[in-house]
Amino acid sequence: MRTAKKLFLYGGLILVSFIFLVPFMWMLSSSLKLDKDVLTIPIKWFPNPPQWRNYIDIWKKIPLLLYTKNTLKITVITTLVQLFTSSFAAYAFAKLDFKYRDQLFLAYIGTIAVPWQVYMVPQFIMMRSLHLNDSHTAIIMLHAFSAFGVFLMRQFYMGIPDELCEAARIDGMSEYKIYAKIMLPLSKPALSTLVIFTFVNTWNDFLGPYIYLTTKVKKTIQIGLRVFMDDYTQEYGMIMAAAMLSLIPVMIIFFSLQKYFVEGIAATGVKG
Amino acid sequence: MKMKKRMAAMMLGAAVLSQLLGGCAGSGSGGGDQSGGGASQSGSGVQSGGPQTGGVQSGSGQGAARSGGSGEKILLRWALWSADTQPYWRPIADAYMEAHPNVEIEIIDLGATDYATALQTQLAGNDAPYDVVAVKDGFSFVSMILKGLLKPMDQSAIDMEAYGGNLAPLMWEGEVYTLPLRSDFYVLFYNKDIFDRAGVPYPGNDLTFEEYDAMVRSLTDTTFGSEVYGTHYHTWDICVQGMASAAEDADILAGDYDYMRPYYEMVLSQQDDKACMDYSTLKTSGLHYLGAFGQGNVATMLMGTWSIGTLITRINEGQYPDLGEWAVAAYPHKAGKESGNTVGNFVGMSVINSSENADTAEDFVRFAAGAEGARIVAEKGFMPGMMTEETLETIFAVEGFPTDEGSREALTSVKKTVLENPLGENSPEIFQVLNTGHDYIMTGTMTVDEGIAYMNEEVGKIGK
Amino acid sequence: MLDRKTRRNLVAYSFIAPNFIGFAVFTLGPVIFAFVLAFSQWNGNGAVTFVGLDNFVKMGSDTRFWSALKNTVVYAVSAVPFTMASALGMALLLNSRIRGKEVFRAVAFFPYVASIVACTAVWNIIFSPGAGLVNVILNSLGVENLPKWAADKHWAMFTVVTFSIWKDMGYYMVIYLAGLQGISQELYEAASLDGADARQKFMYITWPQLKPTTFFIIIMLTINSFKIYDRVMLITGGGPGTETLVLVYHIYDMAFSNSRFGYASALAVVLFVLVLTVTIIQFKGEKNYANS
Repeated sequence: MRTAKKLFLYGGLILVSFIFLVPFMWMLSSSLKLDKDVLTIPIKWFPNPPQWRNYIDIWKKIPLLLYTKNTLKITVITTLVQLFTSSFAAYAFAKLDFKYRDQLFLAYIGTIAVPWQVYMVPQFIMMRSLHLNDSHTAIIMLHAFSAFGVFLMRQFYMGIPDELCEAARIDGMSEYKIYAKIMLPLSKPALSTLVIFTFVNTWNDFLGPYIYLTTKVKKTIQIGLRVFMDDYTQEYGMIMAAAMLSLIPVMIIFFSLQKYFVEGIAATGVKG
Repeated sequence: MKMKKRMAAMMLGAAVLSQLLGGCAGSGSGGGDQSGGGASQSGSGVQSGGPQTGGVQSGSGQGAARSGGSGEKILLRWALWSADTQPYWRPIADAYMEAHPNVEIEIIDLGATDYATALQTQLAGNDAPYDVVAVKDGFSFVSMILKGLLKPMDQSAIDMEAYGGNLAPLMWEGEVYTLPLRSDFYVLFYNKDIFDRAGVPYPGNDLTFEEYDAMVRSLTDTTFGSEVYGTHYHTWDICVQGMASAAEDADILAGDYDYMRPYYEMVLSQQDDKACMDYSTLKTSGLHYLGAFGQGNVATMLMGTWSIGTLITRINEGQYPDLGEWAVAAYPHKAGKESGNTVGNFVGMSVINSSENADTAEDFVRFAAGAEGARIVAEKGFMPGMMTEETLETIFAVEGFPTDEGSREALTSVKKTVLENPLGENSPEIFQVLNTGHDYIMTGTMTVDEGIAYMNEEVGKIGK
Repeated sequence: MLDRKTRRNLVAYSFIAPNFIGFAVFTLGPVIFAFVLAFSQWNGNGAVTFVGLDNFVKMGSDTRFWSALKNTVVYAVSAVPFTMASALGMALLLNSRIRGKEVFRAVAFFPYVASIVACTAVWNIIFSPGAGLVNVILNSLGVENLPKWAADKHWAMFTVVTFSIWKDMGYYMVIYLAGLQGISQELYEAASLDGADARQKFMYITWPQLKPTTFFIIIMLTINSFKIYDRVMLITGGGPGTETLVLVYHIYDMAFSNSRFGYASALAVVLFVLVLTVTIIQFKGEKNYANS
């Protein structure tokens, strides 16, 4: 009985995984095809022979290394700033009582609901008045102070019992110490969720860098990918190879954060 | 301490916001560092239709600061797209700099993907960062004119005749705001091998739509596994709507689209009989039109001359081994009318109004879109806006260019081009409706009659 | 020197300041400016002209706006519950004791990571009306009158919604996993001693404990549903006709194709009010649920 159930469970999981992976298998298979074979009907899954040169040629067409370096720089700084400032602010919103708290929080939530396309032009004019256009700083500023991060961290801190902080206060700990010594270690799952979110979003952002970065040496990998797709509309094989390559860094981030989801609160020795 | 920091931040925020609001409101209060003050005023002046060249000079104070360390050189900043793949941009800039050693041209590649959006954002506010812009489509061109961003050029310095019929459709209220660097038009591409195999004679340059339809069907082979499509239409609305308006000499902005009926019926019936690929499939697969033609199983394709250069490049790269010999013929015409009408498209060169070096910029634009620029464009296999006997010879001398008499004639016998997106104040909105209507009809969501009724009704509401 | 209350406020503000400064300058300021624009006419360059409620009045006769509004609501109503339910289901499965869960977790997360351009390209090939994978399978199962998916009036929205579930589910699953990790094991142990079965444990422990997470996920999903743009543009282009035209698509058109930034901002205000209303209703619902 138990084994039958297990078998069913694994069978289901494998089927679901397959559905999840089909598009990527297609991407992989296309990246090894000649351009003219990519869109043929019916679909050919196994390229014969595989065109490994797509993965070599792409480096000659776009400065992939430079773009990856730029994107990595922007993404890592954004993620660090986002992580630090929003967990810091979220602590106050979740655990401290102060004047205008709800109003300020509402301002945060409110902006989440406004699509970026609406304020993108005023924002650009403002960045330019600060002489930030065509700089990586602009892209970092664009992403690093998202209201989303504050909201996510606040929701997580809300779930941590207030008694924990109260006890620490009675022990004479300052708020900064409570944040650093108690909250931060507890919030690893939420922090890693935020890291992934920020990393993926910044990494995959296209329109922001596209509008702001006009100098070639400053461009990011997504612009490289999109501009390449536009200039070489039909080189599907290489487009897919580039897409596959652009996946690697984000996957590394995800795999290295995996353990924090597993670890969780129970492992830190504090119980609710 | 903490309080101070917060206050400082709030002040900064307020300052920026007020600058933003103030700047955009065109108050131009003369605040020392706000370099755009003068330009803003000239911008709003244009809206009322007044002459604007006077206001432009007001910003010249920053000229020195901007061209910075480059000594006496005049810096022209030129916004364009695809600097790496469109082979004529850089040679044009280089040629001009060689002829004018005191000028330095900086190319800013805004990319082709969202060129209009990028350009619009970069030009937003008051401090235009460019001197010269390449114009990619009619919509953003009109929008820039209406915002007063473009400088009307001195017509006495332009050889207007040399542009043939290419300049007139680009003029706006009697002014020249752009000069055509490239001027393309639709022709009939055909694959000679398929014609040979089917024993069908090559198309001449005097084909009626009825003849075209019959020819296309006679080339079609629906055998599973070895299909041959008689023709190919890309998914753009213009592929049918432009065909109709060119054939009927109709104004596509006029708001009555009944004349499109026979053309839609022809294309849909070809689609039903598999004489062309299915619109829905094409739209979702995103197959490029040259990719379709290059497969070697598409006999003919109505497409713009801009693809000739690209097609040659791709063939030389060995991308289309299955495509045999190809050539072009003139766009089909309505029975009872003369041949020579077609759909056209342009790449323009314009001067930014607030440029501190507007005169030099204008001179550069005349150079780029003039005889020298035209020669460079032609050398790369593209159709220049200024077409002379000499440039014609240049373009036909390009390796891989179809040189048979028929193709030659097809490329030189155009009498009238209807712009893909004709200039008009409401044209973006009208084209949104036309695009929707096209999609409705081609996917079978609406019948031809319903689709046309939809377009007539919705376009009728615009501007009211 | 300072009284307790002021000191407490100052400490709190010092926590908020680093984020708030950046937020106020780079997001809040431009957003407020956009809201001012909603009552104005602005083409992106010249003067800003105040026009009162003109922009909102114009919406009444804007047929594209009404289609966009309808489509956005339809999208939200279908994408939010399905994404949430599948994310929760997947998280529960992967939180249990099974082998190789890291692999399954990574697989489910994969789509979220991949660039949207690449993903939509694949999606469109798989759902191609010609000989896409889905139609080939349906055909072999004997289904007739195969849908044209993204180009089909009845199925275009379905195609976009399934894409969204597939693409987003992994991320919300990760958030749920983070939430599940926060639930104390002791609660489950105590329940086991009381003889509770799996269903009861879910109903009385897991679900109530996950409430802040669920609330967060629903809000984010709703807001993001109202803001969808790029995937629609890439899968259907808003078509066929206006069948999948969504609000942000219309806003983008108005701002960047038509240079009507004032009107586009007014549309954004409508979107904002809509999302705010839904959020408040959800807040109320959560409170009621908590009280019962």
